[in-house]
Amino acid sequence: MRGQISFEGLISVLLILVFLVIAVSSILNIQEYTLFISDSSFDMGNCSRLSELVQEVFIQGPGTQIVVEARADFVLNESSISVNEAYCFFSGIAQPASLSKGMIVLSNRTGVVEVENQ
Amino acid sequence: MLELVGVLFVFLIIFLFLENIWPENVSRWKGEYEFQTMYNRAQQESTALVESPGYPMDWNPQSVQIVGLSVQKNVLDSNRLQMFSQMVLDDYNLTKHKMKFFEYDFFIEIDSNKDSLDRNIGRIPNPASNTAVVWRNVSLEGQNAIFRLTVFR
Repeated sequence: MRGQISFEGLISVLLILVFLVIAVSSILNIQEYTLFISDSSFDMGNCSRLSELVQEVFIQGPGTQIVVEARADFVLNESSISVNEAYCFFSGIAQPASLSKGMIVLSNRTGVVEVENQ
Repeated sequence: MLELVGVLFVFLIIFLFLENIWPENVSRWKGEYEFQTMYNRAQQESTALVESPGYPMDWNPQSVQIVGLSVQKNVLDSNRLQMFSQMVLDDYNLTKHKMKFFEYDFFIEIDSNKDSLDRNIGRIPNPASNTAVVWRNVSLEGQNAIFRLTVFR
């Protein structure tokens, strides 16, 4: 009869719809995770770089000062740094501070590392 | 009917593929991320140990805030090394805490041409552990040696 769809045709259309839903949700998942991975890697990279610099200034001893660029806001604790969710420790002692991204000055005047925005 | 079975089969294959491949990739990435974090920590701690005298400079097991074993860059001090070995023997967990390893364990090996200078300090990792290893060339009592730090979980 004209205008009627076969049972197999109906199942095929349904399957295509279900497949499209799964495909779209998978693509959204992939995008979300890709963004998460890229953000986490960015934060961890910054965290690790900054903590190495703080440790280096600590090890070099009083009288050391360097100016570098921080690519993200970060919180400096006595012996750790956090950049958003990334957290890294360093072997040294620092003056706790909250810093904004941009040029920062790391200095060791008295054996403790102080960091401030330039 | 044959076409329907064919379509169902293809659909099932694609569905299973999508369901499996992504979680696998995510868990692989997480493993690499964890390794990189552990490796960075090992790298930093090895620098602190072999390039700094520690803090305070004249530290002892009670006063130490930052463990450092060198008298100058890459030259280890036997006295500091001895004190550090004793600290680890007395209280491994406290020493680990002072080194900011927290969730990780560590094992340090010093290999030289002189057996009496060789040392193993810390916990030996078991073969199933996730490990990150860092090597440094150092000098101890005038002898060249390899300082190997293994951080593991």
